Amino acid sequence: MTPDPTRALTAQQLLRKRANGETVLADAPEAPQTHVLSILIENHAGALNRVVNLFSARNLNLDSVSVGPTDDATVSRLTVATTGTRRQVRQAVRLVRQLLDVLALDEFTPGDPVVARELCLAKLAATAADRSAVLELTRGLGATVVHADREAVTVELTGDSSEIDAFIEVVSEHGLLEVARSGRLAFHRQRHLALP
Amino acid sequence: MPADPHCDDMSTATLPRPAHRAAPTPATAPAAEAPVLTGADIFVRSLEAEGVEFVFGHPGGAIIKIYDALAQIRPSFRHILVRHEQGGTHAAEGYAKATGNVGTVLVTSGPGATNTVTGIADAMLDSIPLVVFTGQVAVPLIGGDAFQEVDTMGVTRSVTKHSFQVRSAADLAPTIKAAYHIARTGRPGPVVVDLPKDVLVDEAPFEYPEEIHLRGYHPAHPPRPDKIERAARMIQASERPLLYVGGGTISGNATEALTDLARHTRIPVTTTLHGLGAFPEADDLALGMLGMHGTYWANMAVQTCDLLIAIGARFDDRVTGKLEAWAPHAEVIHVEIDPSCVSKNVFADCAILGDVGDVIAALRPHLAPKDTVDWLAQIEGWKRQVEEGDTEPEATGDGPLQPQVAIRKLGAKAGPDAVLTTDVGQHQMWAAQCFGFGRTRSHITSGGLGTMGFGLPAAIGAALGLRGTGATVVSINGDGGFLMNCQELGVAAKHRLPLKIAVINNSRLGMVRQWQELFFGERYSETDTSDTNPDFVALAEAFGCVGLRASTPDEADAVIEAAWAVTDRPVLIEFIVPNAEMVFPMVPAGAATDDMILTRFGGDA
Repeated sequence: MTPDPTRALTAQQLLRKRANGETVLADAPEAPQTHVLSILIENHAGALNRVVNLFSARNLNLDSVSVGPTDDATVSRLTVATTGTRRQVRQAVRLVRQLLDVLALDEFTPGDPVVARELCLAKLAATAADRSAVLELTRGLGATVVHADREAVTVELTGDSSEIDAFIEVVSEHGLLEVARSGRLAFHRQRHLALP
Repeated sequence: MPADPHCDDMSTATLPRPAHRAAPTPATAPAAEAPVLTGADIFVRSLEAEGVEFVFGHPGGAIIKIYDALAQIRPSFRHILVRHEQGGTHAAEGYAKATGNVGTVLVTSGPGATNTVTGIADAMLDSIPLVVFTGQVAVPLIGGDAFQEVDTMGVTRSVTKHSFQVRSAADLAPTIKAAYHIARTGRPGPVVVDLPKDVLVDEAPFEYPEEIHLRGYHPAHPPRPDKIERAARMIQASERPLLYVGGGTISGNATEALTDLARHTRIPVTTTLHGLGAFPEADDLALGMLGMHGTYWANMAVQTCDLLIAIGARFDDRVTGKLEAWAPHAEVIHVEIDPSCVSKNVFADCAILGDVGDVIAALRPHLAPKDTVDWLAQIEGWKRQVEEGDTEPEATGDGPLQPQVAIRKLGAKAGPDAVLTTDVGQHQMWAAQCFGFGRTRSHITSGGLGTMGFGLPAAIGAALGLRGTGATVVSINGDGGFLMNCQELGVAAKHRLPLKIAVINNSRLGMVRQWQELFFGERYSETDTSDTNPDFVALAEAFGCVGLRASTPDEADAVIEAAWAVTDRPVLIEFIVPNAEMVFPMVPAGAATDDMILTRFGGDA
């Protein structure tokens, strides 16, 4: 149902829209943005499932997930990239915090001072005839060769997600056999996420 | 990064092994002299230590060890053998809602577990504390498609507050302690504990922990003084304040404090479906229920108020209708225990996180009586406007029996101490509108999930929990939902529960029929139950209950008298009612709250 543009909003309705980060103009909906959640969870089977499940159950986007143990063997660190309106992301944060397996959470909104990195592995077809050209191309793009054999070259690249995107776009024109991305890892430059 | 990236050998790398268990840690380890028991015995002893009164269960292969232990130990709690696991979960919900205690369910693996899913989801949406113990195949068999194996943790993940799979007998007692703690505290909810068969056979020292440490769980939020002061200022400054009271007020045991607060400040009160009973309906500040089938004056008050004080309520879509148009002039104060409910649907200008009782207690000293005479008179005007146009259905004579009349008669007979359970559909709304709720915890229904088949088993659980208190338990059902768990009649009969079970029989799936009449061009698709309904009186008699029938107002009076004379077994009363009756007022789904349908023929708000 489309709102009737002739019906003026009350002051309270305008306030609610602003508080939710929504635009007050009916013809200019808010653009969803990608937020990163950095989460410390219990390191046991099921904890990751609960977080990931929550996103699908609550109709929230999940762009990437990366998880691994931390210096504390009982704690894993989970980095989730999610795209949504401010209101959606805020609700996602509240729901994730409610999970018993979630020990600490920090939310990085677009524009926050964040260090973000992603690892990409790419396998490119390379025979004796064109190997040197492939190597030159990938080195030129800043990638490191991690494996080479008669048929292919595997390279790794670390960078922020847009650099990885650009890298894949370029190498996809040169016999890209497969590609794997780690999902993004991120730290806030000033805040430190730690167990409470 | 390894020194030589070409030599990453994943098979020999020593990766940190994640502990494949999520057992909570007790504050202290069991003492050296703790007795060594089997897992099944530990289970029974733990439930005793937890103070469990009733276990609603059904045996099966994976949990046969527990049933063997029950036969030998003769525990302090009673096991109620239900005839379907779904009925067991609803009975546990009814028990929990009527008493405020945690309900306990015990079922076997596979189908036993999946049959509980509806009840677990129901408890999740209605914030009912439950612990559901599900059997599981032995740990070495998990994942191999063993007989009666299902991934219960996976299946129930999104409908539980939390869940555990116990992986060793030593973890049993602390896990059970944690499960009850989680179910009971904060915003209550269901917890599943999955019990592999071998864990019940293995032995471990048993000591029920006094305390449990869960580092990721923080249910308590002491109310923030600055928020309390802000709310108090908002209340004092408001001219047309309205209390919007939900089920959290009842589960937080704050109904007396709320009643006192409303009377002290002279602020009118509207309740949600689950809030019924939180505020005396006879009070002149009571506006009744709001929302889709709420009263006209309650909904008009919402649309006109300048301050909405939500207490233990979650702004459900059946309350708000079209969100954007709801309470357009109101600032919102939201008193809530669950942070994820704040500003979820409607932005809260002032959110006070915390236990409802604590918040009201903190708020009360800051509030002085308000002058709301004009505001109450305005609401009274809306009320008169509707009531003048109303024609009351015949309450006597031998004409057709209107469902509202039957329900009013039941409510009048049952009196203020009665507890009512309802199923889902038209009768549920008529009961909410007409039965009359005299006290807290007197209205038990499936609100969030809308589970047909809830009413009868919930009444069994409530009646068991209220045994000895003298409270009459009435259950009002429709003919559609009643059949979905009617097998539990035998359980009610066995335990000689003097339930008064009403089946409002319109031979229709009435609420769907109503929508079909109003919004789907009177195309009555698959909503006629007349040719698949049983003889309800004979059905009751077959289960050892008393069966009665009424189809006129006078007959209704007579059978209600007869039903209340029976005290040693359940009575089922079938009320035959016209099949085209509809629930009004009605805010169509997705419409603005002041866009109400008041009567069938053209009445316009």
